[in-house]
Amino acid sequence: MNFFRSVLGGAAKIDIALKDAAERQVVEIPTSQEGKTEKLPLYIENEAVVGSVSITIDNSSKKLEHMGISVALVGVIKMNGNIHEFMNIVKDLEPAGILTENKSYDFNFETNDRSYESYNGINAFLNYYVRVNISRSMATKITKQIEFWQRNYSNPPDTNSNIKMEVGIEDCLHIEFEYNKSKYHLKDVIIGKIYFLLVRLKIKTMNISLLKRETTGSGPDVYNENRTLSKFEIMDGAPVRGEAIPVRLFLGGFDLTPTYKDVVNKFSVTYILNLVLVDEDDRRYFKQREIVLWRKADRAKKYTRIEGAQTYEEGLPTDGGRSPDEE
Amino acid sequence: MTAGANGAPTEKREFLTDEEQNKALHDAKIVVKQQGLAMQRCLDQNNLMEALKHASNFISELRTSLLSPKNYYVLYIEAFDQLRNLESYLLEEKHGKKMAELYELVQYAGNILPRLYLLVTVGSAYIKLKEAPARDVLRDLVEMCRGIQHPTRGLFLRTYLSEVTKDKLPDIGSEYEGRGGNTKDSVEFILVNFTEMNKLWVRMQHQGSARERERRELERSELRLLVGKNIARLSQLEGVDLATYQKLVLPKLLEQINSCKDVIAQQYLMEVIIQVFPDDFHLHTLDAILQSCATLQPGVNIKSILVGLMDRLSNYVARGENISPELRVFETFSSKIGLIVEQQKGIPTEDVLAIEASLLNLSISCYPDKLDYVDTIFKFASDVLAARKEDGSKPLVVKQILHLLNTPLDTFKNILTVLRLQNYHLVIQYLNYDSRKRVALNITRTAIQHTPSIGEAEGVNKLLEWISPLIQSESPQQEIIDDDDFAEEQNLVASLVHLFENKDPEQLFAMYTVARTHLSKGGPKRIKYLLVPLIFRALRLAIRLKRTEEEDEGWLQKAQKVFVFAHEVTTALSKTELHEVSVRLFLQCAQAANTCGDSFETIAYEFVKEALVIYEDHISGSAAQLNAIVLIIGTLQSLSIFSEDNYETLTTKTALYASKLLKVPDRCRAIYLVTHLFWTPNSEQKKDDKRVLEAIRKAIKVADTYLDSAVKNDLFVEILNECLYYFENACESITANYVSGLIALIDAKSQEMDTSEEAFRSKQGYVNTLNFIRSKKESDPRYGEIEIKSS
Repeated sequence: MNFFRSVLGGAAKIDIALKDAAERQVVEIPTSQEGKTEKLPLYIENEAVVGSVSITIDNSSKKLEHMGISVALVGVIKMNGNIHEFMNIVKDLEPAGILTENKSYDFNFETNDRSYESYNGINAFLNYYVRVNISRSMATKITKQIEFWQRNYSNPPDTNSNIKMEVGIEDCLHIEFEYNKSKYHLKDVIIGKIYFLLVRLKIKTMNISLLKRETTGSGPDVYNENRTLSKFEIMDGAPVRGEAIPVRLFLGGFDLTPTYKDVVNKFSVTYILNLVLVDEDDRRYFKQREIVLWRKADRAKKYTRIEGAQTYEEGLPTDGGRSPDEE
Repeated sequence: MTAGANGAPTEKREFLTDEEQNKALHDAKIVVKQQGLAMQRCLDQNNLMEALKHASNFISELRTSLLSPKNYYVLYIEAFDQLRNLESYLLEEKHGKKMAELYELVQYAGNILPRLYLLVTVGSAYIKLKEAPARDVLRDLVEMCRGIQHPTRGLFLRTYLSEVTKDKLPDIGSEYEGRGGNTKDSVEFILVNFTEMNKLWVRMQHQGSARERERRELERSELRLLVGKNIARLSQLEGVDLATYQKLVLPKLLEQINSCKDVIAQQYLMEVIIQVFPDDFHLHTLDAILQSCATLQPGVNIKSILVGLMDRLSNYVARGENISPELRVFETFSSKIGLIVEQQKGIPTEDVLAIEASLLNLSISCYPDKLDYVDTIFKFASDVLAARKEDGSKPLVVKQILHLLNTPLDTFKNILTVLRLQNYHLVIQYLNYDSRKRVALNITRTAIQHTPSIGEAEGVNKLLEWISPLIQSESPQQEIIDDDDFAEEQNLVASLVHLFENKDPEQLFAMYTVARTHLSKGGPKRIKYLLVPLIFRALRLAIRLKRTEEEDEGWLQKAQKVFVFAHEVTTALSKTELHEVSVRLFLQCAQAANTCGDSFETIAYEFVKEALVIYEDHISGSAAQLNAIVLIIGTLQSLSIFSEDNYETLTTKTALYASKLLKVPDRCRAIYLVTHLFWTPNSEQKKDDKRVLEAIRKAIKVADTYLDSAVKNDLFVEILNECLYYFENACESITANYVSGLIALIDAKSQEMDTSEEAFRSKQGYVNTLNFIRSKKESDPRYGEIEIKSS
């Protein structure tokens, strides 16, 4: 190998260093390989991607002939074996020529639009890289890329009405469920109540599961992949008419992403709450309802009061809409 | 809502057999122990996360549906102990975590039962460490527990909640008061928990098949303590004062009791309320608690609830506490019981009466002076008995009626108080004859034992009316068995007459008149007991009137009325078979009239005449005749009231009767006794010594006709003695000569006597008489003239 490099215009090693690497927050991301994770530097929103590239010329060749050196910020969607670059911002570092000594270049991607978050899904992946290319005429180009992890915060939604639905099976089971919001941030708590308006079934248990649905493709090729992220028992035993069962589901413990809609027209990720009632004969009755997840800016969490205890203070109807404080 | 079949239907299971149960319990206990140990090891290594996993594992054993409530309880206790260890660890704060963080952490558990047990455990530590206001944690916990709707599991989870928080309730004087909340928060918390527990408990009856219902209800009953503890806990809160109880606690409790519509629960919870809260609270909330009794389910033993409440209040008063009249305790009970009985048609009559009996006790303890309250109760009881057409055929009802009727007797003791009741007797009429007789006996005994006297005709009338079953038979069919019991009973009634007492003779007489009306009703077998004392009392009254002659001019008329009364009553008696008694009573009357003086001669004459008429018409046995004659003679001799003519008529008649006696000794004796009517030592009138002699001669003649020589000798000696009496008192016709002749006669006759034992004894009597004469000779010269020939 060294022989070829020296013959074909020399060889060199590329190192890419991101600025503030030591201070920057890293996230541990599961890789496509099952059970393995990697640690990636985290970039928030349109934060400038700044760093430096060092070219180290191979000792044996002493020089490097090249057709130009460039650094690029690349955004890639990988889906079912297809790779699609939706972003590729290139900055030239060196015009074509011969490099006779080691050299470093600073780069700064100051303005760019990284409105998509990094995502490692089931079939869909969205990743960002800083990539350095050394083009050569006779030989393959020398390339080095490093990945970083992109996250975007959202502002709290302007409207966030609660979800309230009455569902049932005629003359058999009527329930009304209520979740306090339709949009939750990733560390949020889902608070709700299930009201039993009519119960003629012998119900054994009631669960809420959080489903993640990843949709890839479009038109006739659309493909949904569902994952159950949590199965959460919220009731044990058979309620009677008039019972109101509390729901409290902390989202913070799950591996969640915000809801993604039509990312580069390639894929979507949505989340669904599935309310499941199981009767004594193990028949299941369920109702699904999508919720929107969004990423809230991190801040130090303060424990000033019990999460969810606002059930009382904020007047979410308890049984019969009466709060015990009224008298 | 979409339905989707998933998995084959599981086989529905009943509870396991006892053996299988024990096995299941045993296995579950082993898991709890093992996982508990594992948890403890992790805690020792300060590995909380792992410890929580083990805790969750052993709590999961409580998810079983296989165990009976009793066995589930055993398992629960096992888990409970382990959880206390976890809580102690949390309180040591070695884990370095904020409680809020832990509080969230345990809520990630997927299964609800372990999640909630852990949440409660952490919540308890959360309060204890004061990292959050107790109020907020308590509210959150009690709300989250709604997730368990399975009756047994829910009941025990909430029991756990109640147990671990019991020392952490904000209350007056508790360290959790203030920022942590106040008593009201604790009350709210307990009330919510109570309500939910009761709902679950009531729902337990619907688990499983109808076949095992009875057993299930028994098992359910065993768990009642878990629900009741909540009420006890409310009563233990310092801050639950009367106002809180009245406005918040009781209404909520009653609302739940009412709405659960379950017999077992309603019964038990009402009793618990009555037990655990102070008397003072009950006194101020009677309205509410009684009102809710009216709406309890049919089948609830309302009697035991009400009786429990009233007995409690009675004891309260018995301890010396006073009940403010403003509380209108009696009125409230009285009207509400009316309402309850009206609405709860199913209460058996005996229960209604038992309730009234308790009210009676309460009324007597609280308001000993309020006789009208007692009367109200009897009115109510009689109305109920009427409405329910009770006829005294149900033993339980009878028992309660008797109890109700006996209570005033036992309490007031003095019959006069009881007599003042207007409605007492209304209740009596719902008993059958035998029971009414028992009541009558009790009334009579009470009157005799505890009543000094009865002073009004009205009282006499009422009393005798009330005890009429003792005085007369209900129907001709009722046969009187004249045995000892009957005699005792009648004597008892008779002695009532001695209670009638009044300083005013007229009033007393009025009482006797009333008594006569009643006492005459009973037929011969009864009046022989009942009328006699009345006659004696009347005679006593007559004599009393005589003593007032100097103050009261009208005494004569009054006394006359009394004698007329005595006459009538005695005549009534004589119309029955009681002739001997009548003779005796008429003579008694005559004696009384004699005591009252000359104005009563006619009356006295009438009395003696009546005695003679009865003698003539009705006295037939020879012994009875002799007795009567002796009595008549004795009476006539003692009377001083008669005019000569009247006296003559009566004595002649008496002498005639005497001479007609059939048996020789009887006739002889009667004849010599009659002599006393002709001559009496100190009387100026009775000085007819000739007739004495005549009668003596006649007596000797009669005696001489008798064949038995010993008896004949006896009769002669008796006549000799009679003569000695007249000789001693210097009756002119009986001279020493005559006596000597009589002695000679006896000596002559005694030759004929045999040597039998009777003869010997008879001779001895004669010898004694002679010895008497000899001794007299020494002191009295008159006796010297009497000759005694024999030795």
